[in-house]
Amino acid sequence: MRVGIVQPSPERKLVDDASDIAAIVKDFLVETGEHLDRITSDVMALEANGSDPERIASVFRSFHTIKGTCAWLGFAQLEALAHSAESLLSSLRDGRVRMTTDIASALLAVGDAIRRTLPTVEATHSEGDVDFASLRERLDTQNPDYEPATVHRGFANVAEALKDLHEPNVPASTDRTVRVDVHLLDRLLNHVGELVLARNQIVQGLAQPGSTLVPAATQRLKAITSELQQGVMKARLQPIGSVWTALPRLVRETAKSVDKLVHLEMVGQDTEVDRSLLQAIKDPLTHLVRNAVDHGVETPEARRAAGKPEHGFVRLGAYHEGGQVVVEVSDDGAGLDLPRIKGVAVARNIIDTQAAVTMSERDLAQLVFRAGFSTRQAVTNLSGRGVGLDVVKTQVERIGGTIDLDTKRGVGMTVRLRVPLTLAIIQALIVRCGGGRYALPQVSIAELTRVPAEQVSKLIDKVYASPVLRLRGALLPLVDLATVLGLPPTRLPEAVPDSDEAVNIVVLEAARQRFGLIVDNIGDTEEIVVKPLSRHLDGIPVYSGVTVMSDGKVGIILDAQGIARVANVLEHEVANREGKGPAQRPEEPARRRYLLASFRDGGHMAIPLEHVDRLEELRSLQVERLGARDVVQYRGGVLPLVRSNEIFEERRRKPRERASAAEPSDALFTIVYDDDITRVGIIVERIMDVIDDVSGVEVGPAPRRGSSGTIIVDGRVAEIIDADAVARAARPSGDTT
Amino acid sequence: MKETQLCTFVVDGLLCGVSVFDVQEVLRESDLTTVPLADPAISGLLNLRGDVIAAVDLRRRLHLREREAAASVTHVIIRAGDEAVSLVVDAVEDVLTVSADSFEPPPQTLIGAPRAFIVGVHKLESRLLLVLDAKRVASPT
Repeated sequence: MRVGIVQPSPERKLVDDASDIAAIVKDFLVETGEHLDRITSDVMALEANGSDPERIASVFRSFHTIKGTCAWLGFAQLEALAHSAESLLSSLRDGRVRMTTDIASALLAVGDAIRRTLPTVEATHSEGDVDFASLRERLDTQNPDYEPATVHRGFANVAEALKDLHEPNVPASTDRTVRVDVHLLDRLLNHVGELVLARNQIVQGLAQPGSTLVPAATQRLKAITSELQQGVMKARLQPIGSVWTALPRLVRETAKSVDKLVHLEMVGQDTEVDRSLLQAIKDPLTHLVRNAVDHGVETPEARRAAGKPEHGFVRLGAYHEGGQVVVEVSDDGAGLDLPRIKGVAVARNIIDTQAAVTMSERDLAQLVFRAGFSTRQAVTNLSGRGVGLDVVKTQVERIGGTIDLDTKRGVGMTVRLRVPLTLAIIQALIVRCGGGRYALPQVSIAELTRVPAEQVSKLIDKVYASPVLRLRGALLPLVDLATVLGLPPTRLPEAVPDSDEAVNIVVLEAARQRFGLIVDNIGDTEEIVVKPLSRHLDGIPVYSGVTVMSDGKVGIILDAQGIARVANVLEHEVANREGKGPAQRPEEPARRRYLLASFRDGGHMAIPLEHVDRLEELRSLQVERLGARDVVQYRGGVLPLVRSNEIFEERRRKPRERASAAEPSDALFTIVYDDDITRVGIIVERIMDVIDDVSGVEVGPAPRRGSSGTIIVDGRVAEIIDADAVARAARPSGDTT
Repeated sequence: MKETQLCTFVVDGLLCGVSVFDVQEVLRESDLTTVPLADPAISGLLNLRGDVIAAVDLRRRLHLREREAAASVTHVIIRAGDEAVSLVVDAVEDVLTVSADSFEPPPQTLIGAPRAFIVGVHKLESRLLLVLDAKRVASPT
């Protein structure tokens, strides 16, 4: 449905009531905003492909309407400006002037100027103190119907023009109105009618004990409620194209500023998205599109040299898939330089050398979303790609979306956002803390874990004052929700036999940080309707909203990022705490992680985790004999097998048995060891754990050949395997000395 | 003679009133969800037919004595801008029509935080009626 355009009409002009004026101005703002959007897209289309009479007519009509309304409202300056633009359009229409880049720039500048005036109009109901003389002159010099005057250049610099584009200069009232299809509105009214009927039946039924009205009406009520919910959701949906309108302009200005030729193609503008999401994805999209033009598409010369057309392509697409909205930004530019990304990632310690070798191209490409890539130095190293992509990722993840990218060197790249259809209804986990109930958005939850009382002392440790949880060999910082909320801190339960007390931990992921949140109780996952936070609670970072729970009481929605911020679970903070202090002896190597495994005789060995390629469970039937050595066929090659007693000196005197015959069990637990020199399978009795030497692990001297030292972990001594000994044991000749 | 209608209520023995035009409705006891970290004057959040609104404890707002834990309260729902806010009072009294000639500005000696919330005083026959600025009381400080 379209609300009628405000047209000058004598009878309305007589009505001079203040509230009436306010309503008219509001209509003017909404209409003008839409006209300006249309003008921008039409002018750019005209610039690209000459003189489509329909488009010229459309721009003409838009300026004409703006002019008429401004005249009626008494906005003389705006009226004169729109008039100049309109008459230039009329010359274009009559073929007396041909469309040029200068004309397009001038017309776009007019649109910007009018748009900039709108906030003043909204606030004061007047056009304010504006002067468009120079802009009018710029239009009039292009128009043979006017006397030539001094020539004005376009924007003094593009940056200024771009700044205008980025400022939120659309008045707020246009954001607060939605156009709704009349049919949809009628349907909603119907549902409300049904709702009233159902209520009447329930009231009636309750008055007559034993009546069957109530169950039937309750059933109807359920159906109506979900229809109503869907209907209202639908009314909130808006085409995604409404946040794309500024992008053609952005592409044009960015391309001009870096001397590139770029076509923007947009597909799927009609894809509908909840309005709560539109604003949330606007910034990330703008960023990605600008990146594609600025860093993706090559200069015309480079493109020619690469045998590509001079004009680069940036494609923006949107579609629905599996209950989500997918938005893609692709370019046919140079793509990511993966070897360089790898180099930078290693140099910056974002990944270690081992990971760099084994990482797939796809995983490597995702590294540009990591925080370390957004620093200035990285910008130059990576020819600017990856600028602020971590920010984009954070923004997308905040609304429960995901982001990934595909790239091929020389062919281009595609960044793909997947976002939910709405932010108004989310999945949330209900937790209890200090007598209150709180909702944690499912999107920020990585896992749930429960530490029984008797294991608390073993699994929960402290690195200085910070509690940490040993979770699968890694240390997870812990945050006590009660402490964050300023309530009495949660007391960790004592290890009492048969106690069913436990520490409940929700592992959260926020802004690439993982941390465990200690809560009193973990409840169910519910679908909740997100409601805004009262103004009285503004500025409390740990809350993101409120909701009404199924029992009608209010629950507060927690913000994982806010909690992380408040609790200081920031990457560098944790690193600092771990890196400082007497726990780290000067002679000790940097923090290492080990895989802990046991021998058949009960001894333990520790293998530096970076040398562990994979863990395999082999069948003894797979083991073959090659000379003096046991081998298996493994991933298209031959992997020699050694047993722990072949690595450590003293035990080598024992007669060597064939693995296939010696192992009592059928399965052989094998650690595929790879230190870049030696690649070998080490057969162990049992693979136990991954340990981290920051958590109370002590390093002692090597007891014998084959080990490079000992560590004590959980009260047990383990020998650190020596790379040379492994290499010796793995030598094809086997037992030679 | 100009007359105004005030919705009156009692807070720690004081008779207070706000313009009836500022009052949306009055609620009996309602389930409050307490909010850690909030301003101490915020006694919690309540569900008003699907809208979640904040409840401001007038005793705390006006720096009066703390209410006994078991004491029953009444919510006077004020519409302040786009948002409704509940003023938690001890009990609601009548709607009184008062005329401008019983009105006096707050006494000079009244200073401190509550001063900002008090518009003036009506001299009723048997007692004084404090007129509060509903919107200001209901807004975050």
